[in-house]
Amino acid sequence: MKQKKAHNSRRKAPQSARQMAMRRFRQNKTARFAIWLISILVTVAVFADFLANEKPIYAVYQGKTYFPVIKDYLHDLGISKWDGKMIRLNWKKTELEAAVWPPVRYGKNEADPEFIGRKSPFDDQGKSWKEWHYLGTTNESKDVLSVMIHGTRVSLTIGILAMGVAGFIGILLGSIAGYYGDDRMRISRIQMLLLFIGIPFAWFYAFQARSITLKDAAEFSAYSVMGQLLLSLIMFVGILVALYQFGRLFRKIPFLGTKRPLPLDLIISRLAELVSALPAILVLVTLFALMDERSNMMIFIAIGFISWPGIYRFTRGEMLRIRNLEYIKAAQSLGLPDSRIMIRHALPNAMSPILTVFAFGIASSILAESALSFLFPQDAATWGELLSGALGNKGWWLAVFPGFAIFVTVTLFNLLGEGLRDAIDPRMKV
Amino acid sequence: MWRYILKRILLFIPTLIGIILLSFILTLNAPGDRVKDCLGEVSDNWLIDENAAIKRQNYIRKRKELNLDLPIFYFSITPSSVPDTLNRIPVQEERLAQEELAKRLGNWPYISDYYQYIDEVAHELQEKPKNDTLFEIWLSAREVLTRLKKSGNPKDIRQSLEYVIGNLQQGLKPEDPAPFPRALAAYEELERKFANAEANSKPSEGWIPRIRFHGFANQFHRWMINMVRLDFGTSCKTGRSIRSDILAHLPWTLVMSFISIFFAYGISIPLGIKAARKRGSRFDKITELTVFILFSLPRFWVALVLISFLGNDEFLGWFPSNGVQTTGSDSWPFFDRLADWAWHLVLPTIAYTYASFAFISRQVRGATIEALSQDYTRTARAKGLSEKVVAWKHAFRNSLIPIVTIFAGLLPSLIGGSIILERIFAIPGLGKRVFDYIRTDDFYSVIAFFTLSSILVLAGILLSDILYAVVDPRISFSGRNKK
Repeated sequence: MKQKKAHNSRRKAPQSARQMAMRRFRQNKTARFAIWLISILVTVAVFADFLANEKPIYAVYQGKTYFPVIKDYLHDLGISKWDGKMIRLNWKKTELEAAVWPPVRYGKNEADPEFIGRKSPFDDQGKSWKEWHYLGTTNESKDVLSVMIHGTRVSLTIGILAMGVAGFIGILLGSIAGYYGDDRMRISRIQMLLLFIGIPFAWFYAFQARSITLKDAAEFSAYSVMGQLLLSLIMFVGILVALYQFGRLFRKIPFLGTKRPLPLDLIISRLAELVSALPAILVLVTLFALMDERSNMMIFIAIGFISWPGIYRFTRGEMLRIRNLEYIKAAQSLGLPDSRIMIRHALPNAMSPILTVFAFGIASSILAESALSFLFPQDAATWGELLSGALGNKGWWLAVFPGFAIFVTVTLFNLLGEGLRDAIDPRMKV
Repeated sequence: MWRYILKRILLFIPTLIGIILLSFILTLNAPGDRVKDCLGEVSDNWLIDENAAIKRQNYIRKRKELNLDLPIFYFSITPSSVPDTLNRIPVQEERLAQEELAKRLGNWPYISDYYQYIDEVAHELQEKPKNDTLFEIWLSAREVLTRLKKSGNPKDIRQSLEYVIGNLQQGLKPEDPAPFPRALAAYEELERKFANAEANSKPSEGWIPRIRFHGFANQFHRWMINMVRLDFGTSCKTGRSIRSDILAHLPWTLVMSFISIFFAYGISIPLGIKAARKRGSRFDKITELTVFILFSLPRFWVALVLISFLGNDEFLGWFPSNGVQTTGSDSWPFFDRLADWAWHLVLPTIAYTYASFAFISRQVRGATIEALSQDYTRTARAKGLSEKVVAWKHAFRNSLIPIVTIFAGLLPSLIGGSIILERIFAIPGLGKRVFDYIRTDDFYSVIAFFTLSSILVLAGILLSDILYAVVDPRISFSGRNKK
């Protein structure tokens, strides 16, 4: 069977660059190993509640069958409700007719009442092995392993979402800067003037005039703020686009209608330079100091907003190369609109190198997040938070295990990035 | 070359202004009332305080001192419902409340009428009642007044008014006559005025922009000039000049940075060159792996593990776990103190150095490999020079330029790293100080540090770009920009 497969792949020689890259990637043992371990991490993150929980997965109590972990999910979603009595039930202290427990029998916020203070994993814990704190307990007598399992979820989510934000900004600005460069975006003088004057007005209508709506939304919930901010942003862009279109009416006028190149690349590159010059951790720390409420959403948005220049630089570089290729020229001569050429023809070819930056970016976002929660612990289940418990020589296990988790995750994503880079562009291998 | 340098410097200016603008926006969004912070005010029941007039005077004076009475920017675009006299209301909370109500309702004269009448009501509630049982009612009526002053939300205002009027109408028992008839009348008048403002509201005014130009006497202009002069003003939390505070803590951060850069370059250059010379050998592979692992190790983890094992008496208490000197060592002879410092700095130096060492040695290896494949190295080899001389004298010298200029790229991570590492090792440098600023909510010092380090990093990049151009005449601006 295996032989046959190998034979098949040899017969069908890969043709496109992408297929070749895929093949190279599959042959790279380290990268395959990294992918494999990352999927384990993702599984841990997804099933964290089934791996470490103070409630059993399955239990029979007073003749009734319960699935407490799943029930918790449904309860949070509002689909089904716990009975008032059951919600406060301490499952560990109750006589259960039958029960299947998670491998780690401690919740992320559960302080072991039998312990006061931290315990090393090698200390005598005086419990059966099933209830052992395998990696010791924190200063607040929480189970280290449980917090680490739940921290996986936080780290991976923030890493990936932060890169999502960074990717959106970076790819958008990078493809605009790269495709248009300093010379290809030619707009008439009147349009330039209109846009220049229009920016304060667009800002006024999008943010000033709607400030009360935004304020009310902020008091309502974090998601409604996001929605309203998005609406404001759409208004902002919409007004500028409308002004741009309006300016086209004047294209026949001799002086004002003359088209001049708009140095988009220069402007956006300056912005990227500015953002990349800021020390990331310092920006996060400053924003943190100014924020009233610190939520994970704020953290990943903030990390996304400071890490886009990496993706921007790559996209721009790729676009600068692609825009001079013949098939793009052909598309232009066919009269296709720029937006279509960019999205449908140029961007897909620029995507694979960007993938590499994504992997590296996830690694550094995870690092930034853990550094932040290390500096400013706020009683959440994260790796950085656990590490901060080790400050002042409180116990080696508090330093070793969570740090090792960060190290492994960061290394895996870095290895993945290297593997992708080697597969996509073997020349770049030093 | 001169053209390139000139262009590069000119492009530095907008970036600099961008940084300053960014930090200014941050100061605008800093929570709390800066004037109150500076005055050390805790209570905010001014309206009914005995010293209200004096406190208000102090507030106004301080506000002027901090330039907060000036308009924010060169120009402003506000909804036409917001009057231009708004900035004259000194107390921030009151100003924000009135602005909010103006934005919500429109038609300023009515709103201003309402807010001005609050002071009249306060006048009626000036005297403390002799009857102790009525004191509670009197107090709550006054507290509502302070609340009203700071509220710009119609729903809130209506509720507060209803509550206080209901309270004032009945006294202790429902059948009692109203205990404060004059205050009640004043409150009813206030409610009427508010209802009037609501009835005459013009929400459409919010959609008409009004532009005003303020000239150079504005907050941003002053801020920009101060930042360019590196004058960050006084911190209200510490009462000291922020600049001198930063300068006082700078030495330790500089010392640590220089030590770490010295060691990083000192180790990574020979290592990188050897790896490049023996490319593909076992040595190369092992160093590559080590360097890769070192690069992925989180700094704060390395620091903590070092402390946990090498600085902990339970394991190997070889090194002190925090601080830079033994307490009381100030009186020791100089060389003893030096030894003491060195002993304290071993662990921090390792933690500071390894990451940049990994980064630099990769760069050195890459640059040397490229130089070794050039024609001139082949010529050197053909002359019969030994491999060592070729690598060090010919290849390395030429790869030195990119290696030296990556120094600028190290700056952000050095500054960022200092915050974390100085916290862990308790080194009394800038990073530790910033951490303390944040803990004491000293926002202006944090922002000052943010601005200063961003400007330094930008200047570093500028300098390295210029150096690059001076050393390597092939570089031109367009060439570098477009690849």
